[in-house]
Amino acid sequence: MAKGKKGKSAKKADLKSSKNDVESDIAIESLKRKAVSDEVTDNEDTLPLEQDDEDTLEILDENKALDEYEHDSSDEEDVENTIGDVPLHWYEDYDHVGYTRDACRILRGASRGEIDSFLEKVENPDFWRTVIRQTTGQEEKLTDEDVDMIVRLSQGKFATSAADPDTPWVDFFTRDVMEMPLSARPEHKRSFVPSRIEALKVAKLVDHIKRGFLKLDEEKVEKPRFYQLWGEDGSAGEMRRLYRPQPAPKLRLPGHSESYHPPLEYLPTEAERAEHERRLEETGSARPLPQLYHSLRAVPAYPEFIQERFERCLNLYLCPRKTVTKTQLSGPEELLPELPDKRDLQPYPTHCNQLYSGHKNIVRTLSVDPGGQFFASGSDDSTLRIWEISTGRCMKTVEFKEPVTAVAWNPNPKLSVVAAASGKRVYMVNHGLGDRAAAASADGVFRAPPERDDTTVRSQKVGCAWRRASEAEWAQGIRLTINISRQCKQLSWHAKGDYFATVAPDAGNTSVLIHQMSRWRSQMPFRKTQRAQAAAFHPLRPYFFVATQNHVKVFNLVKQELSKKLSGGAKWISSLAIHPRGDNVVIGSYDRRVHWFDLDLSKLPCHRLRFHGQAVRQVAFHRRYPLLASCGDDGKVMVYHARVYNDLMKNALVLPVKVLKGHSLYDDLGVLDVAFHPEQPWALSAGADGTIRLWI
Amino acid sequence: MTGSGKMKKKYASGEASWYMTRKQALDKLQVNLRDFRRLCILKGIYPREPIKRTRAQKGSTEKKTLYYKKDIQFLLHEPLIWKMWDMKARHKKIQKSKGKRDFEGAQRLNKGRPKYDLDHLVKERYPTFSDALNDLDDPLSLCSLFAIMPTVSKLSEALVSDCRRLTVEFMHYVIESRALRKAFISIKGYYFQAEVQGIAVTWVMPHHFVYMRPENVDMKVMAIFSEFYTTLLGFVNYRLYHSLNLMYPPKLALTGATPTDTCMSTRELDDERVAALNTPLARARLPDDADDADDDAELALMAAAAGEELEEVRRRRQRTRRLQRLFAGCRVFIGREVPREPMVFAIRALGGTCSWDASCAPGATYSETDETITHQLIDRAMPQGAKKYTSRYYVQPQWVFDSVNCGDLRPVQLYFPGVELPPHLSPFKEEEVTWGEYVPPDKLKLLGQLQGQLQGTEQAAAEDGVGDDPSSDEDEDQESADEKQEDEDNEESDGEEEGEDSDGDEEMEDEAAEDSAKAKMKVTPGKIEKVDDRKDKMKESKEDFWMRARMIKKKDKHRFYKLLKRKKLMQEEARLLTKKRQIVEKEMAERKRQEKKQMKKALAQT
Repeated sequence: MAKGKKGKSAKKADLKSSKNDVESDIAIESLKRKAVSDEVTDNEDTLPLEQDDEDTLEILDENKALDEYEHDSSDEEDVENTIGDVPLHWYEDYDHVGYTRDACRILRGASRGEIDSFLEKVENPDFWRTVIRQTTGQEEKLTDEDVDMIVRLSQGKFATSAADPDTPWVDFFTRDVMEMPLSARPEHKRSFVPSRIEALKVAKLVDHIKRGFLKLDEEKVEKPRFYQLWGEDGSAGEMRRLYRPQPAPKLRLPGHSESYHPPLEYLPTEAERAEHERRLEETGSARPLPQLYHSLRAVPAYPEFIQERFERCLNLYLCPRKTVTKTQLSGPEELLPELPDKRDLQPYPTHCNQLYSGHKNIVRTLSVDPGGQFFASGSDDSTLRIWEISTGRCMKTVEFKEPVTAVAWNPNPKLSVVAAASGKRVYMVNHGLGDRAAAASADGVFRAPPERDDTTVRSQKVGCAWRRASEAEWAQGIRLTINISRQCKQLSWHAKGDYFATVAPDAGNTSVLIHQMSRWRSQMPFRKTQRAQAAAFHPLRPYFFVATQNHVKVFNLVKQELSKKLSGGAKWISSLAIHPRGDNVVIGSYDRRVHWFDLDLSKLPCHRLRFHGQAVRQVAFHRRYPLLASCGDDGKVMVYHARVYNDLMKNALVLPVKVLKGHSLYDDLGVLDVAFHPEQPWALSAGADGTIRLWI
Repeated sequence: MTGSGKMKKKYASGEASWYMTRKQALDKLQVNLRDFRRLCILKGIYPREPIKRTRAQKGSTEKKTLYYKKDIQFLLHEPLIWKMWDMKARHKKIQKSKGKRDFEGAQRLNKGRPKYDLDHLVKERYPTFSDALNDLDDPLSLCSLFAIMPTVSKLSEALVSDCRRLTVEFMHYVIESRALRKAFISIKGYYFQAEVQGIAVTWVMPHHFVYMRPENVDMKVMAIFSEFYTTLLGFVNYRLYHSLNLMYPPKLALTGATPTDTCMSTRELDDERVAALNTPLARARLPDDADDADDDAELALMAAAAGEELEEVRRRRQRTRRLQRLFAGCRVFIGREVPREPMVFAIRALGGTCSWDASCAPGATYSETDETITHQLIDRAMPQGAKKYTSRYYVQPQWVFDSVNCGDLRPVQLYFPGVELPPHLSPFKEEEVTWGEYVPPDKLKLLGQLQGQLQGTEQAAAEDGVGDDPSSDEDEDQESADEKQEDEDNEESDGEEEGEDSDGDEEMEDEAAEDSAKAKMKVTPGKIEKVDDRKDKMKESKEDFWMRARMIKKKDKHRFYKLLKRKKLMQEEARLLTKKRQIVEKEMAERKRQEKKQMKKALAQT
C-alpha cells in the first residue's frame, strides 16, 4: 500500500515539477552556479531554494524510489511523520509538522535568524546543498547523486546517466491479433449467440423505417443555388399571389441639400442650426443639416446609416399600407374648374364709373327708374334723394322724420311715383321728374281718396291708415302716407304698378301686407305669417313669394293657396330676387350664402354660391342681361353671369365674373343694396360709407 | 315564412370580416411572434390600413395591427410555415434526446434537420422579371451596407460574403451593360442609378468606414431581410448575366477565378472586390453587335411614338449613347487617398479604364509612370517633390461624378487640386418649376439656360409673389420721372380735386368743400391717372384664381387647399434660398474685391 502511494506521489511530483518548472529552474540555476563556481552566495540566492525544497525533495524521493524494494520493510523506520499524504500547508499555523509513531509532535526546525544563517553559510561548506525536509522539519544534506541529477535535469537531460534514450519501444499490447489467447479461459456462450436486445432494437428500427416513422437520410442532390427562375417575358406564370398587393413606396431620392458639397445657399444659418438642435432635443430625430466638405477626403461616415436602413426594414414589414390613388398634378391649379373665357361673358360691370355722394349717413336702399334715367336712394340721414345716373347730380331731396329704410320706384312709366318707407309709415312721393304728364296723372291718383267699398272694412282690420299728405308735405312731393303698425323693411311693386307689398318683420301676422295704390286699400294676404324677411311678386304670373327666416313660400294668388315651399338650409334669409322670367329664385342670407332655386326642378337650391366673407345683404337680377349681383357686409359686390336656358331640364349656369371693390366699411356694414340699370349692363350699389357707386 | 331568415349579426360581414389582428393571426398560424416576423418578412406580408378602423376592429377604437384575413390564409398554405413547424418539432425531439442523454440520436436528428429555401418565394413575390427589377432598390442598398459590415454574432459570415459577392456581381453587370445613368456623392454615401432593361434602379453605397451598430437596431431583422434579398439578387444576377451572354457565376476574363474567391481577411476581401471590378468578365460567347438589339428596340419605340415624341426619344437616346461612351479613351489613375470602389465603378461603367498604385491594393493594371494616362484623380495637395506629368490632368474625384451627371466631360480646370470646387448637384432633382421649387443658379448655368431663364416665365413662377422685377421697377421710375414735370404744374389745384377723384377715394365730401366748389365752379385740369397694365393683370388673375378656387367641387376642396399650402411652403422655401443666395453672392463678390485690392497693394509694394 505504501509503495503504491509512493509511486503515485512520485508521479505527481513529476507532473508538478514540469508545472512549476519555471520556479524550479530558478532554484536549479542557483544550485548549479553553486556547484560550478563554489562561490559565496547571498541570501537572496538561497531563498528560492527554501521555497521550492518540497519539489526538490520529492524529486529526491523519486530518485530513491528507483530501487523498488528498498523501503519495503514492514517497520518503515525511516518514515517518522505519520500524518500521511496530506497537504503540509494544513500545518502552516502550527509549530509542529506532524506526529511520530508514538504520537509525539514533530517540531518544525527552529528558523534561523539572518545572522545565524549567514554565519552558517560561512562556516558550513555544505550549506548550499543543505535543504529542509518539510515532513520532518529537519535539515538534510543533498548527496552528490542528487546534485548531479538536478544539474542533469536543468540541462534537459535524462535524470540519470544510466538511462538509455535509444532502447527500442516495446508495446505492451499490440495491434496485431495474437494467435494465442492471453488466458486459457474459455469464451462465454454469449460471445457466440447474437444479442437478443440488440435484435429487438434492430427490429424496432426496421419496423420504424418500414412504417415511415424513421426516415433515412436521403442522398442530397446538389442543385445549383441560382438558376433561370423566370420564364420568358410575358408569361407571368401560374403563381399564387398576394391579395391586393400594395407595393411599398420607394425611398425619397436625395436633393441638392444632401450633397457633400452643396451650393452655399443650402448651408444652414445660425437660427436654422438652433432650430434643428431644438427639434432634435424635442423629438429625438430631425433631418440632417446640409454640410459642406471641401474635399471628398474630408467626408466622414454617416452615423445614422444603419439606423436609417433599419427603419426602412421596419417600415417594410410593420407599417400598415393603404392604397392611395394619386394623380400626378403639376400644381393645385389643376384641380380648379375650367371656366369659359371671360370675354365671352361680357358685358358685365367691371369698374366704378360714378360716385354719388351727398347722403350724410348710411345709404340703406336704392331703386332705379324703369326708364333708366334716375334712381332714388334712402338713407339713415332721413332723406330720400333722387339722382340722375349719367351726371351724378342729385335732382331732388325729400326729408322725412325717420331714416328711410326702403325705396321702390313704381314700374309704371305713366306714373311718376316712388314709394319710400320711413319709420312706421310708407310714403308715396311724386318726384315730378321726366314726363310732366306722368307727374300730373300721379297727382290725380292721390288728390282725393277713392270711393269706399266693402274692402275698406277689411283694410281697417288690417290697421293701415291711408292719409292724404298735408300741404307742407305736398309741397315737398309727398302725396300719400300709409301708416303701418311696424317699421317697414322692404317694399316691392307688382309689375303693373298698382299693387305693392310691404314687409315689416316685427309685425307678427301683419308682417306682409299688400296694398293697392289706386283704391287706397290694404289687405293681409295671410292669416298667419312668421317674421317675413322679404316678399316679391312674380313678374308674369299671379304668384307671390314670401321669404320667411328659413324658407321661401310661393303662393298662388288666384287659387289662394301655398304652391311651393323652398328650403335650402339658409339660416336667416336677408333678401330675395326673382329672375325676370320667373322660373328662378335667388336668395341671399345672413350666413354668407347665396342660393339659387330652380322652381321647376327641386325644392332644394341647385347652386350654392359662397363668395361673400360676411352677411349677404341684397341680391338682384338684371332685366335684360344674364347678370346677377349680390352685395354684402364684406364691402364687395359680386357679379355673376347667370344664364337660364330654355331647356327646362338644364340647370342654370352661374359663373362668378367680377368682384367689385370700392365701398369702405362703416360700423361693420358694407354694401347694403345693389340694383341693375334696366337697360345697360350697369350696377348701382349703396354703401354704408354714405356713397352710391355706379359700376359699368 | 319567406324573408324571416336569421337575424343578421353585426360585424359578420363587410369590412369587419376582412381583417385579422396580429394576435388572432398568431393563434391561427400556431407560431410565435419571432417566427411570424420571419414569415412576414420573407413572404412579403404587411399590415393594412382599413378604410374605417372602428368598423374593421369590430367597434373597438384602440389602434391594432390589422392584417388581411386572406393574407394570413395565404401564409397558412405556405410550404415555408410547414417547414417551420417541422423545424419546431425536430427541435423538440433533439431537446428530448439530449435530456435522455442520447447524444448520438440527437446528433442524427440534428443532421437531418429540415432546411428551407426561398426560391419559390422570389417567384411568387415577383411573378415577372420586371417586377423584381422594380423592387431592387432596397435589396441593393441593404446588401451594400452588409457588404462592408464586419461579421458579428448576429450576421453569419456566409451572409456577409454573399452580400459582398452579389453586389459586386451586380456592379459587374452594370459595367458590362454600360447601364449607369446617374451618380451622386451625398453625405450619406454614394448614390448610383442604373437603367436595367428600361427600369431605373437606384441604390446607395455607404462611405467605406467602420460603422458602429446603434443600440436600438435589431440586426436580426435586417439579417432576415438580407436572407431574402440575397436569394432575390442571386436570381436577378443570373438572369441579367445570361441576358448579356455572360457566365454565371461570373469568371474573370484573365484569371478565370470568381470575383470573390479565396479571400482570407476582410481587408483582403475589400481589396479583392475592387480588384475584381477592374477586370472584365469572361463571356460565354463573343459579344454580338449589341447595337442591333438596341436599334430594334428603338425602332419599336419610334413606331409607337410620333412627331415631337419621336424627336424626344431620339434626343434621349443620343444622350444615352454619348453617356455610355463618356470615359472612352480616358485612362485614369486613382490616387491612394481616393476611395477606389465607387470611382472604379463609375469610370469602368462608362467605358474608361483605371488603375492605381500597385503597392496599396491588388488589381492595378498600369503604374503611375505610364505616359498614356490622361487623368489622375487626386484628393489632396500635390505632394512635395512628386513628379508631375504634363501629359495628364490632375483632377479631384468630383470631376468623375459631375461628368456622369452632366453627360459630358466637365472642364478639368474647375477641378484642379486646390481649386475651390463647383457645388456638387443632385442629378435626382428634375426641374419642376411649376411648383415654384428652388433651382440653384448653378444648375441653370449647367443646363445652359441661364440667359433665357433670367427674364423667362419660369423664373417668375419660381418667385411668384416674391417681389417685382427690378426691370419693371426701373420702368416705373422712368414713368414717374416723366410725370414729375406735369405734377409740379398741377400742384396748387391738387387739393380741390379730391372730391371728383374717381380713383376710390371714400372720404365723404364736406359741406364746406361743397360750398367752396360751388363758389368756384370752374373747370380744373384733371390728373393723369397712372395705369399699370401689369399690376392690373396680376390683380385680375389673382381675382380669377380666387373665384375659381371658390367654385371648386367639394370632394376636391381638401386636396386643393392641401396642395396650395404645400406650394406656398415650397415657394417660401425658394424665396428664402434665393435670398440666402443673394447674400452669399454679395459676400463672395466682396471677398473677391478685397483680394484684388490686396493683390494690387502687394504688386505696388514690390
